Amino acid sequence: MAEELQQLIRAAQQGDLASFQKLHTQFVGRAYSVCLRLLVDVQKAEDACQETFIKVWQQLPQFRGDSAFGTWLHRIATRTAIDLWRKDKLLRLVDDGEPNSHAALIEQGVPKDLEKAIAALPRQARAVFVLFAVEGYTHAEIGTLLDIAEGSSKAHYHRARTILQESLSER
Amino acid sequence: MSDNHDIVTHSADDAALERAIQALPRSQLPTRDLWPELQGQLPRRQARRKPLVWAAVAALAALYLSVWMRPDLGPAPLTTPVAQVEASSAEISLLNVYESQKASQMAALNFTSPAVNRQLAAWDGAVQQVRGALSYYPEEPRLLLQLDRLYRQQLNYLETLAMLDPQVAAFY
Repeated sequence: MAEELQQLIRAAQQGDLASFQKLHTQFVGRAYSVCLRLLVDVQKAEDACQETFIKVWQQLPQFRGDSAFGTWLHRIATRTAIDLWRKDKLLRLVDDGEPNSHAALIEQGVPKDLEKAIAALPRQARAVFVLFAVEGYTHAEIGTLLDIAEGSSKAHYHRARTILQESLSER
Repeated sequence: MSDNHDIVTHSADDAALERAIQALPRSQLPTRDLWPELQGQLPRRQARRKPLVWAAVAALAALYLSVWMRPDLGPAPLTTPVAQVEASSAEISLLNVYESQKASQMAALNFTSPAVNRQLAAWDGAVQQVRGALSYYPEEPRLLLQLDRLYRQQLNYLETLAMLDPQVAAFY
């Protein structure tokens, strides 16, 4: 299995599209997942996912295998999604507010499973929560990725956790 | 009592949240196949052409070594000024091989004539044209082969001249 993956990577590095398609099939779910959780929009997540694989294709000849291919690709997906997330934030002109706050969701009768509760978190808290709790980044790394202080990352995470706990206890 | 109840509840919520986080799928497929669209957006890569270029250079290097081994055609220092600043590494390899060879054969000729000079100038002009094209398409295998062919024609010509009587060769 690992050898098969190595062969696909080597062939794709040489420009073999069929091998790259197999890599795409194998890793698209992982990349799309992080994009969707961060962007909470199918169209934007698809755009981020496409952009991720274009970058992977372009950077593949330089990939030397210092980290696992899946980890390397996932890091590119995360950064790409965050770039879009940041642009989206600028387009909104004002940060956050809590348009989809937990309380509002309960009033709207939205099902309270965790996935939907995460999607309803305030933007910054959602990004921090997804990166820390789901994707395994440290607060220091998140601080760099989102351009916020490490302490802010921790504060957003605890805020997100509190909202999610309330959400789950409502079930 | 109330405080204890709160702590227990909080702890239970915490554990429930942890379980729910662990149960989240780490992979989720898009609702449609993204590959057909992606395929059209992937920029072309030239990675596959590299081995061809270096195979050509390796073949030419082998040819050079075979000429080098001939006692009558020893290598000479590179005396012809060659503009290498913009040249690709494959092109530079070719120029190094052939320019030194050409200089050596020119030095072995003990005569010159307008006819010979015209003929050599025609080849030099062709070489410059191919090099001009290479500046736009560096390491293009077909251009490199054309450059190789032009130099070999020149070297064959010089080799033939060296074997002729100078009075006959002057009109050759």
